[in-house]
Amino acid sequence: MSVILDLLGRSGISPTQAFMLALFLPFLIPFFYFLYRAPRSASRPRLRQIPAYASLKKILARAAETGQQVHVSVGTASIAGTKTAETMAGLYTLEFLADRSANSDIPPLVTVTDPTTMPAVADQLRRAYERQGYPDEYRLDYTRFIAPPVNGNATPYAAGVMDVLNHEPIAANVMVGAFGDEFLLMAETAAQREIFQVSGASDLNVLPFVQLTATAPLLGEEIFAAGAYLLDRVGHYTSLVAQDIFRIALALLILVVVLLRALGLV
Amino acid sequence: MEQPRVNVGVLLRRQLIPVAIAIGVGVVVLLGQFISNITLDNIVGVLISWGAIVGAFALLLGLANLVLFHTKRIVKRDREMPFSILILASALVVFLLALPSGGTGATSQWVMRYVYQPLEASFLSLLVFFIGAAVYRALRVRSWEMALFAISAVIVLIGSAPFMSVVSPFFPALRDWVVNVPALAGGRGILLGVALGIMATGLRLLTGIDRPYSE
Repeated sequence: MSVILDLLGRSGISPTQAFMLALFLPFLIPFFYFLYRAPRSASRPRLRQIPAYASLKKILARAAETGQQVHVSVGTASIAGTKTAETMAGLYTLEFLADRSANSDIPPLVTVTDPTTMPAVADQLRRAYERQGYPDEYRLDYTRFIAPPVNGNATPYAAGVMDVLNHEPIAANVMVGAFGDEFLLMAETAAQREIFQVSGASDLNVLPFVQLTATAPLLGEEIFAAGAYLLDRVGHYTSLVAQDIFRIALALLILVVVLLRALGLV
Repeated sequence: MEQPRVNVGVLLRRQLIPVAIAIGVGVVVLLGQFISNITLDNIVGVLISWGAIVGAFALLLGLANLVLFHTKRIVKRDREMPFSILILASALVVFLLALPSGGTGATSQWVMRYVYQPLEASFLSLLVFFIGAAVYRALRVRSWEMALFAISAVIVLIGSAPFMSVVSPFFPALRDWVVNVPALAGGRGILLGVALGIMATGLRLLTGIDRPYSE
């Protein structure tokens, strides 16, 4: 063990970094294996039903029927930070909604708090209108910048979204991404107005709020499956399979270590 | 049959160059997480500071969006016009106040301490009432998830009350068990799934499978 630690130390890798690598590198095996195999495989893996994703497909019909917009939030985090993955999950959900909205007369209303996320959101909407063959229909004001976070706190944004949900005709509220405590202020406002809500977050402190307020909640890792469920992309399917296999392997490893510890062998 | 012509310039500009830059920068920053090396750390530092500069420009875009939206409302004489005037006026006043001394100057700090922070604190205090309303609504929904949720909440609430340890040691012990066994196990399970989801998303971006930055 000391030899390994010595070697790592000389190569500039600390024990913590080595531990991170030990978890990261094995994940590459199933990830790339299934990615390589996907084009050669005739069938796609069967996905379990997630009601929130199924209901997302229906809310656009509801919006078209009522002539009201769908409010979308991709979270309060930056596109370039520790919460990028959550913001990306929100962007995949937005991509799905934008593609379908582009075919109807009702554009989504996307509110943004982080300035770096705003260009990504606007670009997602613009590309959706281009893909569907209506590039001239796209308007910059489909994206609404409310207020930037102050010291990492998105309270001003929450106040702005509460106003939107209270005073504008909204058919459904979709909030998927990274949120803090301010999530409840927005989601509860929508819940009190009985607006249909699809919400998802990964933060453990926010999950109870999601469960309490959402008509169809997305809990934890479910938000990262948006690409596979909504956009039907091969790379997303294969990474879901890799995640499942790695999760099972980790669970087995934990069980083995617990057993060995219980037997006093480690 | 005539083959469609590929415009190499457009392909390079819209796809290959952005993907190459994204993958290159991503790999260098990722390596910086795993290897401690002064040169690498310096390169990562420079790349991150470039990101911050781009972020500052994005803030200008956001401000332009905000001004455009509210100006449009005012021009249209929308029902919400008074609020739009208020937003633009307050933004202008704070901007003018902060201009001479900068964002960290005494005037900006005064505005933060005596205007923004009290407003934020009062606004966040609404959370208590919102939690109460949300829990009350949850109690009316008859599903087993909500039942479990409500029971756990009641146990933790009763067990956390200071006088409960005097009345009976059972409730504090039950609260500790709920928090340390099922809640902790569930929380770790969720975190494990989230970590794998984040790794998969990062890898898809790093390998160019997902390219949100190119056509």
